[in-house]
Amino acid sequence: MAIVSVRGLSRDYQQGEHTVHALRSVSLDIEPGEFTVLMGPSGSGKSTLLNLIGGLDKPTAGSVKIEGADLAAMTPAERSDLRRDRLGFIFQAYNLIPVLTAAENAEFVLQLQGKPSDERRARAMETLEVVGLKGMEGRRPNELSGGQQQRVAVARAIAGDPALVLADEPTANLDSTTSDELIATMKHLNTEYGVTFVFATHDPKVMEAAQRVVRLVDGEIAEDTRA
Amino acid sequence: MAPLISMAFRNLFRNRRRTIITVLGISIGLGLCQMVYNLNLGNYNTMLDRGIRGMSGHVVVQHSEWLKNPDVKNVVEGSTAIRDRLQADNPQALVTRRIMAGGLVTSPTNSIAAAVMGIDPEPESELNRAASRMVEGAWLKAGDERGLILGVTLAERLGVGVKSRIVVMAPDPEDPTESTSRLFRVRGIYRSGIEVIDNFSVMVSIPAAQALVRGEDSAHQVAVIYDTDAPSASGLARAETMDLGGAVALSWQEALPDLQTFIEVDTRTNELFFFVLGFIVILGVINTMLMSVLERVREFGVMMAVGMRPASLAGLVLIEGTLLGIASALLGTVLGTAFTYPLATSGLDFSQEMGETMMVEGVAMDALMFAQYAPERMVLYAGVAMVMTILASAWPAWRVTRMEPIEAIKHS
Repeated sequence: MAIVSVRGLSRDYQQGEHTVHALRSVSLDIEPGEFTVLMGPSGSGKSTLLNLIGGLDKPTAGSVKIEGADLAAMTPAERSDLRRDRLGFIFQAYNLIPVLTAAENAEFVLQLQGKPSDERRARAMETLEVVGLKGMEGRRPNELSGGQQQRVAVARAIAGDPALVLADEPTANLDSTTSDELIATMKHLNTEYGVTFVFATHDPKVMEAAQRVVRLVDGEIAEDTRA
Repeated sequence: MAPLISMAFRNLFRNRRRTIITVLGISIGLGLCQMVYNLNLGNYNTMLDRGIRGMSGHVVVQHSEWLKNPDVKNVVEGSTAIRDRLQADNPQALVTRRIMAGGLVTSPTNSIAAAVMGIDPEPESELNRAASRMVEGAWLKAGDERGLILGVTLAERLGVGVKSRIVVMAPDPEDPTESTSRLFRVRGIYRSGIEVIDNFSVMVSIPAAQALVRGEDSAHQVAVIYDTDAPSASGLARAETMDLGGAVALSWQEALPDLQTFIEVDTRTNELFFFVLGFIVILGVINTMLMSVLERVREFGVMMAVGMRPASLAGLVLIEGTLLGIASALLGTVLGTAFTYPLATSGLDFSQEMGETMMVEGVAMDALMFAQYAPERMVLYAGVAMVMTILASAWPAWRVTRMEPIEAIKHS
């Protein structure tokens, strides 16, 4: 069964008297273990699609199913629980919680899941080690570089053992070297741990690493290619 | 819950200066309210003590019409027997009789209208402020039917000293066109510090006063005074079952209705002031919490994106409000205690404004006013401040629940 099943998905925004069609009847399936990139120019709808898949936004029409569960049929609290238990998010601007240390950020989702403290801490340490931040567990975000912060965000996204990680322009704020390292880390997580990734990105390096590239133009899928 | 509390605590210290100013604002407001209440409590208790000891008693037996019409004719007959019964019933209490009449005091050089008080000298020596403030001579002795003591200013105006002779005339209760008169010798002169007392009062023993008002064994009041207010209710209940010769037994609240009303009105007025002060402070807290929330909209969006329920986010904001409230309540109570301390030990001196004393509802208040700690009320105010602070965070918390994750994440 596909982890993500999108059917006839549209999203319109009202800007004054004008309606902007950010997404136009998109249909897409994402299978477990895929490393998928949504690419396209700015305004093509890739971030909109990512947000709709993550249940952060509501579609104008169509449906999104995560592991068979229709997001539209869920209450806001149920969507929160789905994101907590089955999805991971990585944002362009890292978006760590500034008052928490790297380890506490990594275990934040586990805390929401109600995992015991010992288990949380062990898992956080494990994920920080996987993303190459062993020894930096006690640092606050403002004590970490941009690349390190994004690695913490990756650790947070995978700590809860999600079925799917959604990453919106994760390398956009990073320098080339750091970006390469981060892509390698996520690829490693994909190949070694079977974590399913869906990226919205312009970064050609991410596209090079992808198994599948979905090209969006004007809110429609223009091309869907697999490596 | 513990991680949320920890996060809330850290959130409060993100903007340390703002948090400290907010806590100080609430704490100082709370501390001032507690201090003002403590000062008022000290004044009220002083007023009540003075009123009870000097004007009524915890329990007082008097003519049923006396409260409405304090006419010299409205007496309690058989006052000695009533006093003895009350004393037997309350062996630890002071029981005293009083007669109040208007009269004319005449010396060889002057005649002045004055208030004539008949007293039982022994118990009254422990109750009357003047007893400890004799400037010349001595307090009256029991059974002294010709002795008189008077205020220092009155003595000066009459041109008399100890051992001088004074004639006191009082209207005949049975025939206002006639009067009775009696010759006294001055035994002592007091300076009570209460202008009206020192200017216009004389005191004589009960038998002498009874002779002036033509009362066989009468008095206007038979008062029972306890060390504390605690036995008052049961003492009143027992007094009501006694043979009082047609008189009535009243509580001090009934006998001093104006004083009781004054204190209640003053208390309510102060509470209104506290409420307004609290409201202003709480507006500040709402502003602080709202700013704190609006600064973190994006962060809240991320937290919702990773699975935190809006209700939990609201809980986080409420916990922040609760921590603010607890800190403010504790610090405020420390400040309230500290603010009160000098007022409870050294007092607040109003002598420049009001002289040595000021009459309030017939009770002489000293210019040096002392606060009295009211622990229960301080805890109550601290609790109210805490609850109000938590409530002040409720609106910002509610706003958090209305956020859409996508809008919040995009917030800049």
